[in-house]
Amino acid sequence: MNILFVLIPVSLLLVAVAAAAFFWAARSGQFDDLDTPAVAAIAEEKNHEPNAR
Amino acid sequence: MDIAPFWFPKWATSMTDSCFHCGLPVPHGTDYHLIINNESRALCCAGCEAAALLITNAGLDDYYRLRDTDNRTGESVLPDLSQWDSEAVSNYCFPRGEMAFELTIGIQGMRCAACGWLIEHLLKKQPGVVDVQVNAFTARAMLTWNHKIAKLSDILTPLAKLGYSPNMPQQTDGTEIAREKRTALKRLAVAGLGMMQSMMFAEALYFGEGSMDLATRDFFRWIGLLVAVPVIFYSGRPFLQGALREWHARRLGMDFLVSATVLLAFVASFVQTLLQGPAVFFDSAVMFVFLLLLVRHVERMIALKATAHTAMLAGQKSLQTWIITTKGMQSVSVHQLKLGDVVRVHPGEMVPTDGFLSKGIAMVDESMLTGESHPVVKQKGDPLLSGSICAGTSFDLQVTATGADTKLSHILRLAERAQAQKPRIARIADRIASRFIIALLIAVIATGAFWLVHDATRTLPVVLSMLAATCPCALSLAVPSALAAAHAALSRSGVLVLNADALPTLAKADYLVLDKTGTLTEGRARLVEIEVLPANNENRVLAIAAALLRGSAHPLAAAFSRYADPALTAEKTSLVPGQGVQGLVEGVICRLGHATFSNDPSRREGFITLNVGGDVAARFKTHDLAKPNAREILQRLSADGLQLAILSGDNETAVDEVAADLNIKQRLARQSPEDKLRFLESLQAQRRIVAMVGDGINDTMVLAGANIALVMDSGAPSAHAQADIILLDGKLNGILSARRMARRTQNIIKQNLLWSILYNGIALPFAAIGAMPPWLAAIGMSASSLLVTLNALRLHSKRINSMERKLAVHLGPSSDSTELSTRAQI
Repeated sequence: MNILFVLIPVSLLLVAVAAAAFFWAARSGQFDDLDTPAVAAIAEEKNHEPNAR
Repeated sequence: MDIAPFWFPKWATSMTDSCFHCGLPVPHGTDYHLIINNESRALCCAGCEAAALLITNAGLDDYYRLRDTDNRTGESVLPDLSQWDSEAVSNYCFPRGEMAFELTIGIQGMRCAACGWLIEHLLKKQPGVVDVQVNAFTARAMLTWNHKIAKLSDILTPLAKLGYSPNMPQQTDGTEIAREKRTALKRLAVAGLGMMQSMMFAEALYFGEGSMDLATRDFFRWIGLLVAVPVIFYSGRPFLQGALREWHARRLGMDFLVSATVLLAFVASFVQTLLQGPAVFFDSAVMFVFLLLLVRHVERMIALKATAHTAMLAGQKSLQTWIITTKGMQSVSVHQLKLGDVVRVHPGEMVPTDGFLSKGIAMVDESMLTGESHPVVKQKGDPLLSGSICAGTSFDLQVTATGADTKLSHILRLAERAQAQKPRIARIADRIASRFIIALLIAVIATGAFWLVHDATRTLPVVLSMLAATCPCALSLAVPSALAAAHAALSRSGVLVLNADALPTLAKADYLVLDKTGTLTEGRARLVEIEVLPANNENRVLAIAAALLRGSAHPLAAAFSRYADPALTAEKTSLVPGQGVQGLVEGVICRLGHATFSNDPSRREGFITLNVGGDVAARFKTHDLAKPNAREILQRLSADGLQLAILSGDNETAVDEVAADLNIKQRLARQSPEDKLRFLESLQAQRRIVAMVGDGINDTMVLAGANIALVMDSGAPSAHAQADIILLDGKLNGILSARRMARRTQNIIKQNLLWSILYNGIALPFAAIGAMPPWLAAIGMSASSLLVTLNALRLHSKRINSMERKLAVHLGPSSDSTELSTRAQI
């Protein structure tokens, strides 16, 4: 059971890394606009047809 | 018809189609069709047909599949975009390489993400465009284009054709909201991660109860403490700050209670950890913080969306203003103003930029800046603030600040001011909550004392549970969440709610008073008959009339503008509300207006008289069309329980014409603002709740007196200052949408209040007898708050809103709009 004294701090370290990654994402504006990319991904495909108009 | 239920008889549907592009009913006898996505669709007018054609020709039919709101009506007359090529705008452009420029523009009219997609692709197809990035949330687009290939005005033309208006965005908004959102997300992330870790450690402690060795137990407790610290003091900071604020204000509020609970749990557990006592509750504290933060975040996002959308819709019309140059009075965009320009501000208009009064005396209404409702007198040389409104006669101001220094839109300012207010019903709920908290604390202390005597080990968990379970969070969220969702949903339909009390009052209203010109009618009068008295020249009288009306907010100005003579200008013009306009033309006093105002002995019904230098010179008759669909909309409003009346300053014939056209029985003509106010007050004396719809300067007094004021966005700024609701694009069905939404909101509010009171009532006894462990209490309270917020979100549901819109076209109006009526409209 003594291994817990090592494992738990290690897991907390991982959590800290995860939090830091989230902070980076938030700061660089990844979460600012969640609507437009969603729509753009769906609609993009039809437009690849050669457009003679 | 794909949008009518399958059992709906075809002959009934064909009578009440709705336009595929903008959603308004298709008028009888018109035939606009287009094949979209392989199906023939009906459209309501040439503008919408042109817009739909533009979209399909560009291969962008998908837009119709993806959008979730209706469009603005297509434009058949294009606005003037040449100002985009001007010097002033190029100041805001960044050069990118040798030939390209980059500019961030705002786009008004974007209602959903699909619009953003459509605009992005449409612009990308324009020659000369290098890159376009559209952000639908903030309604901005970053455009990079090669100025040698195309002019900016050419690139923006297809946008205007579809009914979106490009404008210069306010520099400050959007970024603050984004920053706030990011911080909130960071706090949530820390709380969420912390909560998961904390629960795992707590689980270990629960399972190991009795069989765990002391060293391991203490280890888990210290780790639990370690994780709890950032969650409580970083993520929970908003609650702690709020508690401090409430403490200073000597008022017991929600934040105080939440902070007290969390801190009590933390400190008590800390002590237990040090003393190696029986139980710790770090997990409960952390869970409490996380769940509450989550609920607040959801509610805040809804409210922010409402604000952002309102601000975006309201804020950014490109304002036109008049400057005096060597060539006379010219209309320019506010962006083109330079330091030292002389701006003429007409009655009812807003001062566009900071400056000082260049001559004479002026009366300005600074209520939007200072809250002071009495007009202020300014002398020559006194400073004039951007955002104040001309309350007397026209004056000239010399510009001292331009560009980003000036706030451009008064509606935006009104919207910002309104966001800070709280509706009456929420304030009542807050007061109840406040008293409830005091009673609760007494109960908690009493129960704690009881358990201390009977079984001391259970004191702490019972106290914590009671505090957590009975926190009136749900109660204080009940009203704001519903209103925020309703405001956000309405702003998507082009209805701006500026006053938090607006919807609750509108739901109870039983009388609707409408102005005629500009509200029920297009406001674009046409000249239909001219009578010129002998010894007068027709062109000259027309030019005099045009000069008097030029630049004024009067709806008749448009009818005469084409007869204007640039050499003939009017000085010292003043608008007498409800009567007419007076001014000096070439040194002679001229008046244009009602027969009594213009000293005309003969009163021909329906005519206004021009009086030059004391003699009657000519009489004019104008005609103003009623807005399309006005009749149906008013019928629906009447069926919804509103009694209708038209009050107009215009003459009897004109008012009777419109009233007959719209099937309204009660109407009064030749009403001065005082007459209108008196009518209103007599209704209110009968305990009626009166809603007033208007647009012009002469409606300002009545709008102030009405229980709820709705104003067209095309109206005068002084009217907007009194508005509770602003109807964008002058759409009358905004009144109907607002009324329906108001009713639904009242229902939701009642449900929310009922639920939150019920929950608190049930949870308290359970917590007191110790049947509820702290973590369960935390979950229960947060769940009830979440339930309240999600219930409020029902108002914002896209499915229900668009379904309701389509059904509203086909089926009869229902008094309770949450019920689907199946009466067909024949």
